[in-house]
Amino acid sequence: MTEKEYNTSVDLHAKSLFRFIFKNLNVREDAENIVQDSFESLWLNKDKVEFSKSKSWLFTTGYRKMIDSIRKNKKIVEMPEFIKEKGNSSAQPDLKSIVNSALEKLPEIQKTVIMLRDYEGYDYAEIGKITNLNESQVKVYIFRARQTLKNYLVNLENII
Amino acid sequence: MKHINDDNIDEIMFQLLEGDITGLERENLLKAIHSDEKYLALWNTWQQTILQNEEITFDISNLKRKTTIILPLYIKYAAAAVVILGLIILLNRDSIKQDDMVLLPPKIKTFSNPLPKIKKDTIYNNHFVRDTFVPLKEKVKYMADRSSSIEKSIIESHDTLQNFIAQFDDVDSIVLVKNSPDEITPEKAFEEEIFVSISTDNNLSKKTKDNTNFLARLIGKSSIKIEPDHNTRTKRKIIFENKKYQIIAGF
Repeated sequence: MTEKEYNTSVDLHAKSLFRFIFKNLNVREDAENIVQDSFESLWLNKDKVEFSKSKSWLFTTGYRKMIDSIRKNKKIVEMPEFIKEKGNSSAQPDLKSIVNSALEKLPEIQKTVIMLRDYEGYDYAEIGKITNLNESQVKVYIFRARQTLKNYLVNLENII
Repeated sequence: MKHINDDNIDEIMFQLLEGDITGLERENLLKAIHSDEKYLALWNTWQQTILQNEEITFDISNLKRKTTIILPLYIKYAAAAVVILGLIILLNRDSIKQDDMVLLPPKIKTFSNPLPKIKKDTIYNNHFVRDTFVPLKEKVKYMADRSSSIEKSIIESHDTLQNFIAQFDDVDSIVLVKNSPDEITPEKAFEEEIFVSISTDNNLSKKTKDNTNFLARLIGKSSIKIEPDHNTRTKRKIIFENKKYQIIAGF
């Protein structure tokens, strides 16, 4: 990978990698550090990594660093920014906020796989490579995640 | 063909959502779902489990890279030396051209107006031997003994001589050389056996001596000095100069 290709990778993938990490950790500073480390690592390995595989490489590296960070910090959970913003508002939360709050309740691995699926459009095999799971496991985790979200939404509708 | 019911509804709706069921089977299942209000409401909820794309602000500028080449210190000094040497050569390029002329065998000039012919028997032998190494104007001077001056009227009356003289800079004196004073009169001054001495400021022996220390001459002819500078925003100025050029740099 050339310097130009590396910088193109930054343009293409940095924001999506940050979103993936940040929505998992809910701590902006940690997410920024992990993204920084991931790209630092990509730069150091640019001679080994092909440009076409840079996104997958970045998400795999970022995911592993995120898991390390979670284990190290024992998952310091903060309120997501969008919930903080809505906290003082008396208006009805929109669907995106509700889904996001439901997402926060998911187990870590389910949250990871459904975000890779929906935000990044990865197929089961690609998600499996990043998370070190097989395709069946990925499918099961995604099913459970959607089922949990669905149940959350159904229950919320019942309450409202 | 799958049929939807309360037991398998979550599994089927998930497969529909993920695109695992396609074609005719998908169409039939969607028809069945739309025909039942409860299933339709549930299907709508399932569709809402797909995460919607959202923009998050993140500054990526500090992730970009630009390769920087760090030059060793000695390369900077070498570059500075090249610049200074270039300046010296630029300031002394006229001198360099003159030196080249001395170092190389002189080119034989061809004049549009030919000089009076020189007979071999009128030239001293020792001068004749050195002839090939002496520029043409010097050759004429060597052959003359400066015994007498040519009158102005004689020069003015002779086109060839005027043209010949006009080719020299800084002529100090013009001397008529006679082969035999008794035989030659001013009226016969430009017959073949007469030589003309042109005295110029060129001194071949001195030039050859100076050429032994070429670099010293280059540097010696230009000066480099540093002076205080109160008229501009800089505190001092460095001046490179010779007769023709002056380069001032403030710092």
